[in-house]
Amino acid sequence: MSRLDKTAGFKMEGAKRASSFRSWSAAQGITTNGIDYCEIPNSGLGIVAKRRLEAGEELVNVPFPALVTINTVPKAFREKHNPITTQGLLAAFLASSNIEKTAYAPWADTWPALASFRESMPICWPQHRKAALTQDLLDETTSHHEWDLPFPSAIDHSSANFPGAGFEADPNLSLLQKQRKKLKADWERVGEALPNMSFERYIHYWLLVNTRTFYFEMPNVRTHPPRDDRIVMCPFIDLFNHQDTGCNVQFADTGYTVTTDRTYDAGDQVYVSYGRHSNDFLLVEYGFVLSSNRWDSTPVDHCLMAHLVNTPVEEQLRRAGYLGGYFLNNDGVCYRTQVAVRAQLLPEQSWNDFIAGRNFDDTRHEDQAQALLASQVLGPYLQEAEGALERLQRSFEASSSTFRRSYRILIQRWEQIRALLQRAAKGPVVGS
Amino acid sequence: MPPKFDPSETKVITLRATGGEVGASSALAPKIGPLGLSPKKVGEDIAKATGDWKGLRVTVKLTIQNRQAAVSVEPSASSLVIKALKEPPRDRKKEKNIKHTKSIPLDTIVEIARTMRFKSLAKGLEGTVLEILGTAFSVGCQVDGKSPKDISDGIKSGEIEVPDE
Repeated sequence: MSRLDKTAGFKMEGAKRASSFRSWSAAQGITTNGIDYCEIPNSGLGIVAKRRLEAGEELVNVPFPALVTINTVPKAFREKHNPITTQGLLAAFLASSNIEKTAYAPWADTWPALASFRESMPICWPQHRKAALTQDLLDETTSHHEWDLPFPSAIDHSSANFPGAGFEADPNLSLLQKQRKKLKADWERVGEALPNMSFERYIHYWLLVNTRTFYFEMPNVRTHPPRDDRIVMCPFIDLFNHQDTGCNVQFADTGYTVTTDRTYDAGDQVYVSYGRHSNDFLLVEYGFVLSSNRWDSTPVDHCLMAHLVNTPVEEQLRRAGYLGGYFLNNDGVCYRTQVAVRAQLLPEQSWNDFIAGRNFDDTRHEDQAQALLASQVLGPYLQEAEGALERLQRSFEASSSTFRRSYRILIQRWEQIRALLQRAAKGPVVGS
Repeated sequence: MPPKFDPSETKVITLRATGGEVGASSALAPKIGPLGLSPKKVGEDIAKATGDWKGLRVTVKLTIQNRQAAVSVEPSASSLVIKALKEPPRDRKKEKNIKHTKSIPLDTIVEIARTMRFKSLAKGLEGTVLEILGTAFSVGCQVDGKSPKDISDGIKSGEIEVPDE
């Protein structure tokens, strides 16, 4: 069976609805070339090549009028909600506008249902699947899940039960906490402005906007809104799935264009890259992890900081700008981590030479540094990963089918972290 | 922050380096060390990316995101002019204060102007050619066996014609 036959076999989201989205896109002036969208097993909808595509071919062009921007929202509605983030406003607008009856209905048909967010987005996980989502979700105290969920520290500090840590990480730095805060602020505004809006409906649209918006600078407006709020929703291009490298996406005042970066065979899924994101970030913001990700990294602050705070080197590191922000990536630990480890090993003068890149022979300290790294970072973190995996595996086996997908994603993430740690432990990675 | 394709997530650092050589990491360390990048590794990456420019000073652009750097060579007028002279590679430590006295054809200057066109603010290609001739003058080389200044004057008075594009 050729690859094309296989894609033809994918279950279409109701052939009639699909064709209505296609004709709707055409009516918006969206042009597509050699691609189509269809159901991809385990990842919702995606874009597939209909024929062989050469590098540099233009695949999609979405003209500016087809985008949903902050200006699409009626002025009165905007003013009722001010001050609010663009994301919060777009979500409120879509949630309150009974979208099934508006001109956007065929597009809205391609959006995921709330159930799929509840399975994939960590922010929804603390609450029981059967009941409706409530705003208790946004309370910091509910981060202790009613079902056992050990998160990696990047995602949520509160559940990282690291053995023997004397260091309290700032919970506001975790990705999940940041997201929760943002949603909370938006919901407070929307709850006031639209008293009849249910939290469950709002979070659905808020997550839709969260996972489907694009960076865009409005024509003739370069300074406002702030960078984080320069977002638009873009039909059709929002169906592309993410890979660490993908097609080129360009925006201009006239709209959005996607161009192939390499050749694709008929039936291949065509990807774009949302940015160089780690799997932790992808999981919190988009609800998936990549099985191989060249930009993957995970912070190791929660292991290393315990050995630095309240010691003489803490001030030394702070002065040089090297305190905190330690990461582990595919090549081992980052340079900042190496600097922090050496701060504990070297006399201050030699350490200053090391960070200034002055003629300094580091080879003598490599083994010592690697040993310290293993005892302070890699070893303890590996222990944490093993413990988390054991707990998750146990819960996974005992769980009913509704929870399984969430457990599986988290197990996959911890296995990746374990692999990163094992790779870093193998050889000296000094200077890499 | 979730918007896809956010260009503000990248940090760009531009520096001058000698092509094909691993420079002293003391120049790189204070700039990229705090961003979590190893000066030694980036130094090696720069040497690899500038292999075509052996022994010449070139402008290198580092695009940094998520503790990883992509190295690219930014075209610069003086690097292109010196490259066009096709001088034999030399040991920078032994031979100093080198004089660039050779000559390059005007066609090559126009070719360089085309490469640099996107950076130039001149109205037409002629203006960019004049800019490159200015660089050639400052480098000290000749164009078609004459001083670049004479060529510039020739272009301005209309004696020498430069293509529109």
